[in-house]
Amino acid sequence: MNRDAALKYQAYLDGELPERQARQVAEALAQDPEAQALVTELRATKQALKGNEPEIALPESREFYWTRIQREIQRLEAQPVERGSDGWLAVLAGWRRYLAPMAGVAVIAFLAVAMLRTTPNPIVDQHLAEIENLSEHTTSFSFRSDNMFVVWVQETGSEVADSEADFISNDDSLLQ
Amino acid sequence: MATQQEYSSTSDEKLVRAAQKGDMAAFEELVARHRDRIFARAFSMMRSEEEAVDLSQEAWVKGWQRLKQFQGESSFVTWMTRIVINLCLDQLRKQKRQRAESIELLEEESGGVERQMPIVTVNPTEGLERQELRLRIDKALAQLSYEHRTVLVLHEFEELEYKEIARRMQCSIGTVMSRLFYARRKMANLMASYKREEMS
Repeated sequence: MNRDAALKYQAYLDGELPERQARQVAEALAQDPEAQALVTELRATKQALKGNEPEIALPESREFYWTRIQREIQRLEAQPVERGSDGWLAVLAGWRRYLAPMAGVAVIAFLAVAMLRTTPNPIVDQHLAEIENLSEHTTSFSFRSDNMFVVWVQETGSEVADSEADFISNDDSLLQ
Repeated sequence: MATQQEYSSTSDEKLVRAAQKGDMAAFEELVARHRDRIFARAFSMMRSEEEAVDLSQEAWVKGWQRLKQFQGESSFVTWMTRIVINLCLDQLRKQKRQRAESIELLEEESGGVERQMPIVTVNPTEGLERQELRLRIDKALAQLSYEHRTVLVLHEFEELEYKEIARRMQCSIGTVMSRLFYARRKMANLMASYKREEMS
């Protein structure tokens, strides 16, 4: 008896064959003692299992078991409802798939610009300057490099600076 | 809202309707009533008490969340059982990705091993008390690979057809037939060996 025939006998036992095929298998079975023995064994196992699933009791008390379920339900219900299917949030959710590639491109662009800027440039290096402006009411200090402009403003007589850095920009146009 | 004591004599159908309206005490009664069965199903598939507790609790949480979708076409406990089965299958798939295929499964899928097992001609379960029979079934189930055990559980305990098992296990009907055949033959031989041990 080959494997396919054995599986067919099993399907017959489980009532999985169409009527015509089931009749053919029944006829073949009647003439094959080995197949009959196999089907008898399969049937005995099937019958032994039927209605005899091992009974295993939960190893926790009703209260303990329920408390964890209840806590999880309450935690999930306390979370804001995800509104991914309507309005602008849906559009945003649609764009989420592009976030990773866009972030990758941005990082590469940033690194490329940074490398260009960090390349020693004798002309730019000459523009590094620190300027101090003393007036009656305020004192300001500014620091300028090729890609950054920083200003400290301090009230005259005040011990504490209002702001450590009032303006920081990488925008080249503001450096002119 | 009724008290816990009043709910203890209420039918599942009424409890489900109350729970669908947000009555958590009614749902708690349903959990108390069927928790052993849902846990047992998870345990029969996972064979780990800890995992079975976690997955059965997760099933109850999902049950609460989807309760409005329950239309009463099957019994509530059948519906809950299907939820826990799906969770167990998901978990088993995750675990499968993390480990090599079992030798038993590889042997079975290469074909022929189950045919080398001798046919058990004397019914090894005959004359056993029900409790003893259940213990032996449990012991034999523990010896099977999870693929064979799951097919057996879904076919014999859940009474699902080949097609439905294949859909749930995401495999072909041929694979279901092959696994079921191997699992039954292995079970028969294990039960026969327990019988021999008892006799000797």
